[in-house]
Amino acid sequence: MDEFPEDIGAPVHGRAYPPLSSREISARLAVGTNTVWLIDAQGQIQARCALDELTVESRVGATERRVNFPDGTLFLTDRHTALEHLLADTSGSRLHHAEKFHPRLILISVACLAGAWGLWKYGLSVLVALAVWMTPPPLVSAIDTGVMQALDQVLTKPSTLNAGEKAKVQDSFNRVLAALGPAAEDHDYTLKFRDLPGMGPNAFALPNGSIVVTDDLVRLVSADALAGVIGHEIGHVAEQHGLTQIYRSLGAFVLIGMMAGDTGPVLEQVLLEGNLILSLSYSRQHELAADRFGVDLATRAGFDPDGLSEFFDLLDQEYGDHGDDWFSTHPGFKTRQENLKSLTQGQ
Amino acid sequence: MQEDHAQGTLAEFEFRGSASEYFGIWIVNLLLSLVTFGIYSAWAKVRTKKYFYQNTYVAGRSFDYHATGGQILIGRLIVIAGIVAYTILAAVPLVNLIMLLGLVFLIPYLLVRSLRFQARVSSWSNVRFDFQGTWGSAAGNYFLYPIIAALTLYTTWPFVTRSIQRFHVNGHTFGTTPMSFDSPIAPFYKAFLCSALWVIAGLIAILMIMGVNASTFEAFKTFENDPKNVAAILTILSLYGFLILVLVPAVIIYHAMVRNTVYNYTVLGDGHRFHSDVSALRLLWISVSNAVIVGLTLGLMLPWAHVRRVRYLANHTIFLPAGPLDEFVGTVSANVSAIGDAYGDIEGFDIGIAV
Repeated sequence: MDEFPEDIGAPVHGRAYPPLSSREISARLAVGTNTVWLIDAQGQIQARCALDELTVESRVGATERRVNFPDGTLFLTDRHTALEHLLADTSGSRLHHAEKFHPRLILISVACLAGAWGLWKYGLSVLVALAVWMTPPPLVSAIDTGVMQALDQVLTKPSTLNAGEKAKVQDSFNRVLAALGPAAEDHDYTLKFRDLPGMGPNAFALPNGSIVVTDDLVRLVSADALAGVIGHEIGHVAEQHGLTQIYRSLGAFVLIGMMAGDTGPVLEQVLLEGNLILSLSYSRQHELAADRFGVDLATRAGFDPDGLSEFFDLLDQEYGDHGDDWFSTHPGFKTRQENLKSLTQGQ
Repeated sequence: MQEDHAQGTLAEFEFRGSASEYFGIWIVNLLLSLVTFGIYSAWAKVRTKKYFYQNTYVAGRSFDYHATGGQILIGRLIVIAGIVAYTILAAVPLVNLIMLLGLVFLIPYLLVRSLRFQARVSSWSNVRFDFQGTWGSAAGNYFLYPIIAALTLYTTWPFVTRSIQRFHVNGHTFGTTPMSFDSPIAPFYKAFLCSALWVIAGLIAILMIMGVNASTFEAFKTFENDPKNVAAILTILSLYGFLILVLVPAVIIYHAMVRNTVYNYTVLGDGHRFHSDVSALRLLWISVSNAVIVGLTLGLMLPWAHVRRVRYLANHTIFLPAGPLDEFVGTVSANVSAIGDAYGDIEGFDIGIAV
């Protein structure tokens, strides 16, 4: 509609509302050397101001352009070209031009699909790394203390290992940690013994460096396997997997919330659940990375590199392999062994 | 040019935008948001809102949206900082319990702030809306009443819905003109029974098709023993899919029927009324087919889907003025921060507002 040549230089007709009122009047805009007038159908001046006091909102699609007088009078017009000509105003026209339905939009669509993929794949990692770096250390140490206190009240029992068993594990732990070199100072690595009935041979790490081994683990597995498991847990801490996972799922959640906008009732559900499944895939990748880190570390500390792999054999026999599925936090034992095999063969 | 509309007996809602025009706005918004790591999304939101508000007309006069990108961005930054702090601290037991208690008070507060912000940046015919609902009333409607309804096994849920709609509509004013809503309970129970009927019919259909009685329990057992059994996984997944097909539509049907009731019993000022005749099944069809088409096109048909839904709703809503439309008066109200609004964007309030 704005392409009509006779529109150019034509008076800018539209409708106006007085300040704070819904009273609609027909009006037109007139411009002098430095003054703008709003003139109604009877030729009366309804509002006036200096040209630079006028705020003209940028164009959105083909909707009427909004012109605000400083006293609150509002003027709307669909004579876009005439208005731009009258006020010599092109604010926001570049954006409006880019949005026009045009083959160029195909290019923008492709760029968006690529951009969404790139942001998911790389951009989010950058944001997450930044967030991890900015997290204050006292907070991380508070997480460790808090979680340990809660676990001790609810889940764990004091360890029933004797002093000799503990000393042996502590010795392995010290050797593996020493292989980490100066990086061992980055976190407060401490070994803790607990009895966790029903959890079997297991170990876990907290983000500040508390590493818990269960009594069953110490009793059932060889020193080499134990060194591999300890290395694995040190790997989680050194590579900050805990915080990374928290920030990643949060980041994806926030980005989806802000960018997707209103997606309708059905799709919203699908998006949120898809995000959850994808964050589990990150958890599995972290397990594999920690496996490689752990075996590498244990080997450098002088332990048998096959120790961790043998431990998976034992778990496989005792508990069975659940295989790789989308809904697990950990990959299957077979996958983890193959992951380690590629590591030892690569060396 | 528009004067003849003012004294008419009915004035339709109409949406004058188009899917192709919105597509351009949407895709440029998305690209700019992606390359700025989401920062531009605040301005993108404003542009989208302006497009839909300014294209929605009642009696030939359009709505408008007045928030600025800067306002929205500041609100979002504060909320993100809060969510990050909350998530990290939630890893500390005891602290998270205290924070959970804090949230019980914070959420109704944010909800009221969000509604007030949204109302004050929205206008029709140059007069802005406002929202005067209180924090306590929000807490009652969203926390207390649902708990009481749960005690009655949700058979009193329609009363909760009606109370929530009263909270929303009666809390709003159009300039200095109050809005009010009240209705008998029967239409709410009708909506409730219709969606309950859908659920029951859906469950019976599942039972008939899949024979849940024996084979599904069998499937769950097989799955426990042999997690790689494909047949068992398929049975369980399709059961899950069927449950979604039963529950999501039931919610859509309920909302559609409640929307009609709310419009039909709302009065603006002295006797301006509304009428809505949305068909629940038609809206259900639109929602489901939208989701399928958007999914198949990698999201590229989202603008079309959105316009289709908005146009359907506008075409089935009518305004019945009881007098001249030129006499509404606005008020100057202080700006309210966008924190509540940003929280709603990111966390998604389920406020069940019938628009």
